[in-house]
Amino acid sequence: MSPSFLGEFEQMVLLAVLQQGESAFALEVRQELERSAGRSVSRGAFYTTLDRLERKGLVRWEERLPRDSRRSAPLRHFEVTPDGIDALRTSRRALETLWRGLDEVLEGT
Amino acid sequence: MSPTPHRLPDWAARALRRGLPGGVRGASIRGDLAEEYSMRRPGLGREVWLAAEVARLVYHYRRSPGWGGGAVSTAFRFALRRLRRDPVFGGLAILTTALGIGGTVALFSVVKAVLLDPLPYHDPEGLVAVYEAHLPRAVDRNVANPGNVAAWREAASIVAAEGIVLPQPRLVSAGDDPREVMSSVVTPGYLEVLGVEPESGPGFSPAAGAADGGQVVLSRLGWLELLGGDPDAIGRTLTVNGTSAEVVGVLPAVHLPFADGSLLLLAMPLSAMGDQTNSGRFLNVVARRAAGAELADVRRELQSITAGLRATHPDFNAGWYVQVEELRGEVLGDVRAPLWILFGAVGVLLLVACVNVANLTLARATDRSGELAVRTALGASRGGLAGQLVVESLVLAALGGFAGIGVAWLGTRLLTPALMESFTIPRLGDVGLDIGVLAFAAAVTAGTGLFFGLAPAVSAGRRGPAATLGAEGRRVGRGGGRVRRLLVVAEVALSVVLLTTAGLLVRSFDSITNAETGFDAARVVTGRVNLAGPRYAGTEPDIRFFDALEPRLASLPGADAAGGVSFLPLDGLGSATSFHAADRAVPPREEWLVADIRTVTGDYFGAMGIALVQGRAFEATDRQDSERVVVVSRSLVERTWPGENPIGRPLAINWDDLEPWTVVGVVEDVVHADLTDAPRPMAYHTVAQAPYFPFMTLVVRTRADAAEAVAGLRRAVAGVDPAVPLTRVQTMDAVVRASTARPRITAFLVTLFAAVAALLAAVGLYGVLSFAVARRVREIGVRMALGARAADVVTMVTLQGLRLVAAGLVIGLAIAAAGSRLLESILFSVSGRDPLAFGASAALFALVGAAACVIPALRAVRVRPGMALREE
Repeated sequence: MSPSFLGEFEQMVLLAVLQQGESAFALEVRQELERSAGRSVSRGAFYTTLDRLERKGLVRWEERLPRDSRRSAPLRHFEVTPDGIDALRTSRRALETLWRGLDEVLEGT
Repeated sequence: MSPTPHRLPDWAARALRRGLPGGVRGASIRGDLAEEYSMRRPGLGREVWLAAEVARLVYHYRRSPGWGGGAVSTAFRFALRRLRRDPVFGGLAILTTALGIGGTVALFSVVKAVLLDPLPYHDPEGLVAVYEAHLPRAVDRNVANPGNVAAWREAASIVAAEGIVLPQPRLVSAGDDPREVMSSVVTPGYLEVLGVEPESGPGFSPAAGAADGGQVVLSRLGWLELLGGDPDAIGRTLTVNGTSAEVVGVLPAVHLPFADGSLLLLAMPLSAMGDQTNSGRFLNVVARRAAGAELADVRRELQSITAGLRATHPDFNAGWYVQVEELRGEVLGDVRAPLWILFGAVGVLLLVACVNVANLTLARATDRSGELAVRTALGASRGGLAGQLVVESLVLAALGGFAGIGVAWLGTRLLTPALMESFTIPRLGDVGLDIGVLAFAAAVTAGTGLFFGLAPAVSAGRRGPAATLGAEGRRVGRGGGRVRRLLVVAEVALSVVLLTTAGLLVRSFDSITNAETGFDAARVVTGRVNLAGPRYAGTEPDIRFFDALEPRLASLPGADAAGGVSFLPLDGLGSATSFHAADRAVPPREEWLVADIRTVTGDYFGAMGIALVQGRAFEATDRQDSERVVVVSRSLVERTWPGENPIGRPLAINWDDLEPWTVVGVVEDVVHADLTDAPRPMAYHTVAQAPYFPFMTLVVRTRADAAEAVAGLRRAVAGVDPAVPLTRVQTMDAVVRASTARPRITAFLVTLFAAVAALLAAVGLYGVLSFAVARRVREIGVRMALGARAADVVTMVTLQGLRLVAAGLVIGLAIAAAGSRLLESILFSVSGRDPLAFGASAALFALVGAAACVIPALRAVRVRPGMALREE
């Protein structure tokens, strides 16, 4: 299947999941996003984006039992699927093509 | 010790359980939130943060596609988003709708409580009011004679029960200074007939009033005013006219027919109220039809009994018939017409608001024609688009409706006291936003939304995408333009109807306030004295009191004149009886005329500024043992001795006896109960010769200020008897003002509605013209490039608008003329087709309309030819 077109926020979420790796729980991913984007991330938008990415088959999750005893609720551990990796790659290529040759314009004074 | 697990407060957990998807998905989100929550510093800030997070989560999930979404919710979301994007339009539309809906709902709540809800009595449909009526004199709804009432009660088989009311002011004290309050004497069965039970206390015992040891039942108002709402009121003792009475009941806040406004009810058997040896008529009768008996049956039976009474007591029953009416109509009385008129007026305002919003929506739809065309081209069905537009209107209407309920709530708060005061509307205590009113609000809101959503929806459905896209939204919408022009004409017409109505009511109010009263209210202060209690038993003490008071009134400091009268004009109660000229053949009883009877003391005519037309006023020499003299009003003379000199003539007045009184003076006619009444014959006695009433309203025309005059009055009264209080102190101006409160508020409210409607119509007109100018920028540019002068352009645009105004004016005036018949019942000395009211409203709206036209026209002139052409 042809890779889906990714929105900016979707890309950021996917990248943040990848960054967190083993500790890619929703909470941590969101914190990572806020740290790297430097702005607050709407909780609702974040979770619904995860759901959408899941529906598109770009991420999957499994339930893990929390190790921290204060965590009473179940935790979802996220992982980017091969399709997700493909989609990121496609997006990056598309962007890089577009960026090429514009350094002077964008970086210049 | 194990650490405390992260937890959310209950309310948040509950909200999220409902708002988020189930299973692990939702649970994990809740867990995340709980963890962040527990890491934050406890305090108010944390709770606010949590509330915001929960709201946003739920909002997002509600909106998220595939989860609770659907065509309708998508349309709603879209509608909300559009509103946010265009806040000026949204705000205007919501404000307009809120005003219309709010006003309508506020008045509906009044109409419902007063006119539509059943009376708060047991089986209210079975209740009737029974009056006497004098057919030859065209007197209807007259109070009844106690002997006749007893005869009805005795002989009638199909009137199940009855309650009789006799309103009387009494001096009442709950341990403090006595004051005069309105009270009603009723037969013990009065409350039973109505089916009104005391909220507390047993109520009257069946034998109440027969023996000494009085019992009183307090109305809700009386309980609050006399006992300060004491929860242990039952069993407390009040002093009523100097004797003590036990409180045996407190009534709920209901309207008491013929006793409304009374603070307390006293029980008295009918036999103690009077009999046929006293020919006076003073009783109000409420009765209940027996099961199965129709109103007509009751009328027939009582009529035949009354025919017998005319035969057995021709001396005072000649010409008198019985009149039986549904109690409902009597309770509501004449508040119906003005209330329906107000409701109609606010309904018209709502229509104007709807038309205005429809117009706004249409204008926006034209702006959006590009968008709609694109969406049609992309495959949106016409039905779908029309649906979208309707949903948008409904969303607008719903927001307007919510704001409108707020307006209505505020409106009833502001309206109720004003209406209550001026209409003395029965049952206005019950006005509120109950389920019925809210259902009405919802229906009005939905209707409003459909109304102003349908026009644009229909016009959007009609237009083909190719035409619209080809025109690129600049020369489009001839169809929409026509609908908008029609809407503006409708707005103008409706506003003119309201303006004309307001004009008529204001003119009528003006005639009322300028009506001839016969007295001069300026600088006059009044206050009542009531001689009650054992010390004033019989008439001798009354005469002594007023005799002693008279010189004190005459020497009041700062007073031009002072006196007193038994019944002040425009202040409610009065007394009347029949009379005839005693210097000619006695006419048959039923042809005797009726005169209002007043007793006066001191210089009453001087104090009130009532002009002496002929002869003399009373003098100190008019005593019990001197000649019986009477001063009569001009209209009494005109009806009795037309064109003759009345001075010295004998007048037989049917009071205690028919011994003639000698007419010594004629005074100008004075209004009696209402400024709109025609003058009635009136006969004045001096209290020394006719001590009929143990009370008097003192009247002072003062040179000093009112407070000083009142203090002087109090000193004068206390100088005679310190135990007699001076009550109900008010200026005569206030008395007159209070009597015009109803036409004042009706005129005021309709004028307010009309002003808002005219403003809305002007906004609509302005919108349509601005839009037309914007559409014709190129054409105007070309015209100006070809040498058209600015004045020509202004004229052209203004004329375009004035054509709409003219069409609306003609239609509106026609509707107003056709509908004026509905108004005539509340108009006073103004015709329903008063040319001044019609002309003024037309002129006023023409002015407003011209202003609304000129602004866009002036803008058109500023079009620069070059720019206009470049726009192509």
